[in-house]
Amino acid sequence: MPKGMQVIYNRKASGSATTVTFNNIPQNYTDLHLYVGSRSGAASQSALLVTLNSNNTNMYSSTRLLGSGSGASSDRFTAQSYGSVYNNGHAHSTITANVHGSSFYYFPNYSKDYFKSFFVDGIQENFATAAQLNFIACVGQSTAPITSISITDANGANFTSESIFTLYGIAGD
Amino acid sequence: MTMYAINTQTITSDNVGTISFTNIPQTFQHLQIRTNARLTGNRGGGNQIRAWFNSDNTNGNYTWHSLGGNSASAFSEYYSTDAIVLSWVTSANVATNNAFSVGITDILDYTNTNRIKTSRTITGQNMNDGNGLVALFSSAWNNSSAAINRIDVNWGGTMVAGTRFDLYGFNTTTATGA
Repeated sequence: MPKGMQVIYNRKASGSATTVTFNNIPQNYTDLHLYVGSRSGAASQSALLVTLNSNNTNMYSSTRLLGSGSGASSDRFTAQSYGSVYNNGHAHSTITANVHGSSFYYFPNYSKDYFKSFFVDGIQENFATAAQLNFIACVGQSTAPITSISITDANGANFTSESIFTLYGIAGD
Repeated sequence: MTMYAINTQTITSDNVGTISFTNIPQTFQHLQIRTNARLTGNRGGGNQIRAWFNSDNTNGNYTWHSLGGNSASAFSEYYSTDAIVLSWVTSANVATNNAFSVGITDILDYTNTNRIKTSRTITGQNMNDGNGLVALFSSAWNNSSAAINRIDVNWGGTMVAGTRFDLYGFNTTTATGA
């Protein structure tokens, strides 16, 4: 078993893709950590959606703490067909040029036969009052080990070519 | 291995000033700064450790937003400023002896010369006097053409000995997949 934190995949977006997928995720780590630096081609606020194992049944729920630059709120989504609905740590084409969101996904015990709980924090910076910051706790009601993870633009728009996705595996002794 | 220690700066005696990470290697994909800090003196609880890139601390060249809690309510704020936020910081008059604040800051794709450099910080401080602060910060440097090769850290006061800043790099050379 590998120890510590290792890169599994590191990928830049093509510029036209609306989804980025990591397949054949090795099962010999304890946890997964996914870093996403992303910008959407959409002209309005978009979000990042997660699909585990290509499963888009209504098995996902999430609870979110959200900041806008001027206020804080919290909401909840149940029976969703995507996980981490909706991570707003994702820039779009009408905010400051060349700004990308930053999101950090943590998938503990991804290879075990528990429901798949994961945690996300994401930020979308902007040189103006309005921005997006959120923490999200999610669960996917499937016991299947995670062998693939897809990240999709919620508006069906493309990820710009400077968007980057790095998947790490973490393992202890 | 993926995570490499680039440099550590530890304050060894109560100190006013700035510490610097210079000649930052350009070979990593992402950077991380870990902050463990405490100020001396009579200061309020909302002070921050801040940093700027490539010697640019021009006011208005940076912005930050927060999402936080202060033990009574949640808040979200915005500032146009001269630096990014690395951490809240405890201070001697309001925090229990030896209590330091904690911050973790990630900077993705710091060598990319086609994107604005943004950072995300998770930070908290518990003053042990009934108050505390916890927050998620986003920050940005309004420069998309320069890779980050230097980070200066400033705290606007006197830092207690034992305060520590660690800079890590995350590489991608041990990838097992495509």
